[in-house]
Amino acid sequence: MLSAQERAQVAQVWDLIAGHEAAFGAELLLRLFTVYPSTKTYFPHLGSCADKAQLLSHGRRMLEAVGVAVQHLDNLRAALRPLADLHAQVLRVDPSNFPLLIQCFQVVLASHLQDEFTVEMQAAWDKFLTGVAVVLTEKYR
Amino acid sequence: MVHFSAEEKAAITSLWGKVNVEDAGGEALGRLLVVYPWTQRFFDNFGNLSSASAIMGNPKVKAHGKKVLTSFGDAVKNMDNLKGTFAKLSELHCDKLHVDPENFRLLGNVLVCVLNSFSDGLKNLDNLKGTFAKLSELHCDKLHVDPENFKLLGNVLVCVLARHFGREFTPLAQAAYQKVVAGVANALAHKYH
Repeated sequence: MLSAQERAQVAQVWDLIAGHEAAFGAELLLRLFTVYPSTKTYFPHLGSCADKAQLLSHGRRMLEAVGVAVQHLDNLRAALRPLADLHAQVLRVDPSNFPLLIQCFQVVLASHLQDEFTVEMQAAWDKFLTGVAVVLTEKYR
Repeated sequence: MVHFSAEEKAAITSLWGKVNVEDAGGEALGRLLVVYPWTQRFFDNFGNLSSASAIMGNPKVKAHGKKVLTSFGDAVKNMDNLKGTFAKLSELHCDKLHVDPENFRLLGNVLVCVLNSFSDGLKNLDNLKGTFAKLSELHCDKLHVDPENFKLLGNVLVCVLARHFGREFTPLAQAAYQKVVAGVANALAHKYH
């Protein structure tokens, strides 16, 4: 699915995130909830006004899962199977929400990396995250 | 109708004042064409779109992006003052273009038509539907553009702004601008039939 060049771009972006999963994840969630408030309905355990600690904790978990995906570009389905099951059986996040999360992810990357966020990176990362979303929603029905 | 709070309008206007329309427009359109390659279908006459660097450096992409963004910035303000002044020019160009079968000349000329209809600045966000009514009809009847494309371009524009402003592009700023681009996209889709 991803060309060798795209994989390199994905890895390059991940190098910039690795070690900062909590901070990136927290900002991602904050942007998601601020820009698309309806997405909060999927995070009732975070409360109506998620505090910083909760965002950091949950954000880190989400970004660590993205890290797993990055390490297993050749076999996303196997690597993400538990998460796919979770989303299909428990979370059941409507598939329309994944593009919203992806948009916020792009904005986080763009605002942090600025000039380093090349168009090739944006294209590869968008393709990668979209692929992850497909795997996570594949078992819905 | 989209409603913008005073804080949102302030965030929108203050950031927009610092946007280099020429650069941001070309950047946004270029990124659209690279990240979502199927959007290239509207730009067959733009020459070399064979690679990311070819697209980002393509002078027609830059020029067209500048036109689109100028129109975006201009068009979200209240048109009342300009409608009377430019109505005849606008109709004249549009009526002439209706008989022109070539998409490229149509697109280019109609954009000039659109640009002539507006003035600078994000002033009035309270009448997006009225502001974009004619553009909406145009995109449906003449340009045959799927409204989904307006959302894609809007999202790419938000990313370009984030890249430009960095930390200054806070979640609240993003929220305000996502609201603007969604409002513009909806307004552009409003007259589709």
